[in-house]
Amino acid sequence: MLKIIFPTMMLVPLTWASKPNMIWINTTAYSLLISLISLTYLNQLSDNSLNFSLLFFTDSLSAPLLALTTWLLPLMLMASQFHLSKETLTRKKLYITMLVLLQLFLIMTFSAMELILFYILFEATLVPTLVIITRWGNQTERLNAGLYFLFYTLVGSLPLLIALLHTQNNLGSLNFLLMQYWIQPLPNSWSSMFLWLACMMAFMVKMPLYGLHLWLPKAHVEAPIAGSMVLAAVLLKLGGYGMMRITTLLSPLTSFMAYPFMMLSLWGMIMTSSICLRQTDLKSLIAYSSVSHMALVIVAVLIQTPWSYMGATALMIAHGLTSSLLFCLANSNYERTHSRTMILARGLQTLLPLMAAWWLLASLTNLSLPPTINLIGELFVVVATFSWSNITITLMGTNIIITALYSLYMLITTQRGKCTNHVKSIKPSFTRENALMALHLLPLLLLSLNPKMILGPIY
Amino acid sequence: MNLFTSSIITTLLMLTMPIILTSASTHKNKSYPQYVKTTVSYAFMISTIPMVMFLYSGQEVIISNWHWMTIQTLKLTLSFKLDYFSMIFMPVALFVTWSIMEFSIWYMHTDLNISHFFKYLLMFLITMMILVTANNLLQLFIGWEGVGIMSFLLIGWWYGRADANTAALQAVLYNRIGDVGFIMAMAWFLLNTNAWDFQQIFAIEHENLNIPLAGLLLAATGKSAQFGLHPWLPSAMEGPTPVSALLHSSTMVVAGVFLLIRFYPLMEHNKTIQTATLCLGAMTTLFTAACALTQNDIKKIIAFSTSSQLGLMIVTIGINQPHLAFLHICTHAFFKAMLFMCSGSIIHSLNDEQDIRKMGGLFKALPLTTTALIIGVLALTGMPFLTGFYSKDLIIETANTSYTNAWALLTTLVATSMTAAYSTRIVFFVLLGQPRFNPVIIVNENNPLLINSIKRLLLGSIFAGYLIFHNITPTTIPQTTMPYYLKMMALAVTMLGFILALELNSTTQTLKLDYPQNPFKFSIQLGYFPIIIHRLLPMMSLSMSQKMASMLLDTTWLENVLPKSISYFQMKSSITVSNQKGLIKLYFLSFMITLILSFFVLNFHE
Repeated sequence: MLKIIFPTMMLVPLTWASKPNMIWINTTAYSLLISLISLTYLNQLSDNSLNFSLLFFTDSLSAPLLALTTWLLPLMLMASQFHLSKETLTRKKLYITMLVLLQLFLIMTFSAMELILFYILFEATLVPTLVIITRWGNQTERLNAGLYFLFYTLVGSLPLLIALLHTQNNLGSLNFLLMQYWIQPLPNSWSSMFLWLACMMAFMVKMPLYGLHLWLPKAHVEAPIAGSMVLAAVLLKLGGYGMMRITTLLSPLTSFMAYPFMMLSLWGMIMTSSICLRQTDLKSLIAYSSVSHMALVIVAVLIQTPWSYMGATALMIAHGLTSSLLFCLANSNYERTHSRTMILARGLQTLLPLMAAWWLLASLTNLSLPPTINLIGELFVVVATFSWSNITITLMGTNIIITALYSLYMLITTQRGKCTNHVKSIKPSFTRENALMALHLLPLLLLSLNPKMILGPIY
Repeated sequence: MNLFTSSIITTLLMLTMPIILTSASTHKNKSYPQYVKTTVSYAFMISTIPMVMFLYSGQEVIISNWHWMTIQTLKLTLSFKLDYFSMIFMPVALFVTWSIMEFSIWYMHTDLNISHFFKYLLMFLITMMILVTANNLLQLFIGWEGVGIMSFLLIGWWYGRADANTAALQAVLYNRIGDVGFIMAMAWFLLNTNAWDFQQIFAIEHENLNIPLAGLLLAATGKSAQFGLHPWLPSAMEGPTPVSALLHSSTMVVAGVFLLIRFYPLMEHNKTIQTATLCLGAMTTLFTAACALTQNDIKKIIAFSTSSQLGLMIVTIGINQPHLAFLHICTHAFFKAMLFMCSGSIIHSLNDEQDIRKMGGLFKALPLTTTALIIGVLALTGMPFLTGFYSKDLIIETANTSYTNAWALLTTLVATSMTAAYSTRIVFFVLLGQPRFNPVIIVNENNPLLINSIKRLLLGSIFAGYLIFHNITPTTIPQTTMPYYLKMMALAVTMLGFILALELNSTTQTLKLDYPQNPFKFSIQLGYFPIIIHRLLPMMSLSMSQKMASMLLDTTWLENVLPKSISYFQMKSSITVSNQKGLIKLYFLSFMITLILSFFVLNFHE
C-alpha cells in the first residue's frame, strides 16, 4: 500500500518545488502514474483480499474505489486549471496540496483495516474538502455550504465513534478481517437498535439519505470544480463503502431496522429526481441526480443480497465516473457563459460539436443505457428490489423514467435549440477539456467490456 | 453449415465497418454516404445466402461466443439466435434500408452533416439487427434501448427546432415507460427461471406467467406505439423523411411486435394476456385509423396508418398467429417505406410543403412517384395480389374464423375499411384534381437516386408478399375452408371504404360545413389525447415536483426541521442562558457571594 501512499505524499514537495509553469503538468503526470500503479489492485487473485500490512488491505470491494480515487486526482487537476488561472502561485500550490492531501486520506480510508483507523481517516477527509469548498468556491454562499457540509457529516458520525468504542470493548478488535469470524449476532434490544442507528447514520448522512441530503446540493453547487468532482465521485461512495463494511457487525438487526430507511430512500429517489425536472441550475441538477442515484445504492445495501451488493458496487463506480464527468461538462459551460443557468447555454451543439458529443455520451450513461456499467448497477438493484418486494418495481420504474427525462432535458436544454447571441464569442473547447472528458469516458466504456472487475467481493 | 453462421457474422460485421472506419479519412470526403449505402446493399446480398439456406434446410442455429460474465448462476454471453424470424427479417430490413439510404443521399444532399446522418442511420439499423438476432434478454435489451436512443437522435436531427426536440423527447419518454415493463419481465425471468436465454426460458414450465407477459406487453405497447402510448409516433414526423421511412418500416416500431413474436411460446398458452393483446391491438387499429381520416399533413396520415397496421399486427398476435404477424411486419416494411419515400419526393418537390390541401394534380408532374404512391396505397389496403394482400387478407380471414370476441373483430373490420378511406383521401387530394400549389415551383423527379430507390421498393411492394408468403410456416394452421361471405369480408369492407371515401370526397369538395362536427373534432384533435395527456399529466407532475418535492419538502420542511430549527434553538437558548447583560454591579456582587462562600467553606472545615 505504501507503493501508492508514499508517491502521493511526495506529490506535495513536487508541487512546491516545481517551476511555476510546470506545476500542473508535473502533478498531473505524476498522479496519473500513481493511478496506473493502483490499477494492479483490481486484479484480485485470491478470494479474500490482498493484505499489505497490519494496517492496510484491499479486497474487491475497496480496490475499484481505490482505483477510482487515484484516477480522479489527475482529472481534478486537469479540470481546475482554468478555475485557478487568475490566482497567485502560492495559492495554486496550496490548492493542489489540498487535493493531494484529500487523495492521501481517501486512499488510506479505503484501504484501512481497522475500523477506528477508518473512522479517523473518514473524518480527516472533511478537512481538505472543507478548505476546498470554503476557500475556492465561487460565491459567498460557499461559507453556508461549508457549514452545512461539516455539521451534517459531523453530527452524523460522532455517534459512530461511540458505537465503535463500545464494539471494541465487546469484541476486542475492530479489524475488518477478524470481524468476519468473531462477530456475534446482536441481541434484539433497544440498545442494539441504537447501536445500529449510530453505526449506519454516519454513512447514511454521507451517502446522503433523503431527508439528510440538504448539505449535498449546497456543497456541490458552491464547491469549485475539483471539489464537486471529488464529492460526487468519491466522497459519497465512502458512505456506501462504510455501510457495506459495517453491516457485517450488525447482522440480524438490519433485516428489520432497514425498513424505514428503505422507504425513505425509495420515496426520496423519486422526489429528488423530480426536483431535477424543475432545476434551472445545472450543477444543482447534477447534485440532485446524485442523491437519487445514491438512494438506489442505499436500498441495495440495505436489502443485503448478493445481487444487490453487486449492483451497489457497480453503481457506485459507474455513478462516480458519470457524475464527475457531468460536473466537468457543467464546468466547461460555466467557464464560457459564467453562469450555471442551463437556458443561457442553449444551442451549444452548433458551436462546440465535440463537446456536444461528450454531453450526449454523459447523458446516456447517466440514464443508464445498456450495456454501460450504469445499467448493470441499476439493473441488479432493480432485480434485487423486485425480489424483495414486487411492488417496488412501480417506484423503480417511475425513477427510471424520470432519470431518463431529466438527463435528456439537461442535454436538450444545454445543447439543442437555437444558438443565442451572447454565446457566439465563446472560446472553443480546449484539448485539455476534451482529454478530460475522454479520460472519464474511457474507463466507463472499458469497464462495460468486463464489468466483473467492479462487482465487489460477492461476485 | 459453416457457410450459414459465417455469412451471418459477415453480414453483421460488414455493417459495423463504416462506423469503425470513422477514424480513417473516409468520412471526411463526400463519398461516405455512398459508401454506407453500398455496404448495406452488400450486407443485404450476403444475408440472402443464409436465408435461402435456412429456407432449404429449416435448421435453427444459435451462435454463442464471447463469454461476457457469469453472475452466480447466470451466464451471459454474446449469442445470436438464427431462427425463422431473424433469418427472414434481416434481408428484408437490409433491403428496405438500402433503398432508404439511397433515397436519403438524394433527400439530404444539402445537409452539411450528411455523413453524420448516415452514421446515425446505420447505427439505428445495427441496433435493430442486434435486437432481432439477440438470443438473450440482455442483448435484446441492448438493441431495444439502442433503437430508442438512436430514434431520439434521428428525430431530433434538426435540433434547432423546438418541435423536433419535443418530439424526440416524447419518443424517449413513451419508450421508457415501455422499458419499465421490459425490465420487470427481465427481473421476473431472472428470479423465477434463473435464465435470460430464450431457449432456457421457454424450456422451463411455469404456472403463472401473467406478470412477465404483462411487462412484455407494456414494452411492446411503448415501442410499437399501441393505444395509450401512441402519441410519440405521429410526433416523430418532425424528423427528416428518411428517418420516418426507416422508423416506420423495418426498425423501431416493429420491435415491439417482434418482441411479442419472440415470446409466442409463452404467450400461446396464456389466454389472459392474449385477450389483453387482442383488445389493445383492436383499439389501436381503430383509434389511429380514425385519427388518420382527418389529418391534413401527408406524413401524419401515413404515420397513423403505420400505427393502425401495428395495431393489426398486435391483433394477429392476440389471435395466436405470430407467424402471420411476422409476415405482416415483412410485407408492411416494403410498402410503408415506399409510401414515405413518395411523400418525401412530393414534399421535396413542393418546397417542403406537407399539407395535402396545397397539393393536387401531381399525377402529371410526378409520374413515377404517383405510380409508386398508388401501388403503395393499394398494397396497404390489401388489394389482391399486391404485397399487403398476402398478409392482411389472411389475418382478417383468420380473425373471422377464430374464436375471438366479436367486438375486437368488428373493430378490426371497421379499421380496415377506414384504411381504404384515408388511402383514398391521400390519392384524391395529392394526385387528382387541379394543382393547388405555387405555380413557380419546378417539380422534378428525374434523379436516379430517387427513381432507383423507389423502383426497387415498388418491385418489393408487388412481389415480396408472394415470395415470403410461400415460405411461411404457420404454427397454428389457419382455417382453409370458410363460408363465402367470410372469405370476401376483407375485400368487401375495403371496397366499401374506397367507395365511401371517394363519394364523400367528391361531394364535399364543393360543400362548406357551418361548424365542425363532433366526430370530426375528435378525429382531428387525435381523440383529445395530446390535449389531455400532454397538458394535464406533465402539468401535474411538474407542479408536483416544483411545489411538493422542491419547495415544500426540500426548501421548507427539511431545511426548517433540521438545520434552521437547531440553529434557532441554539440561538434562543444561548440568549436565555447567557446573562451577560452589562450589569456590572450585579456581577461584582456575585463575586462577593463566591468570596464569602469560599471563605466559609475553607475556614470551617473539620
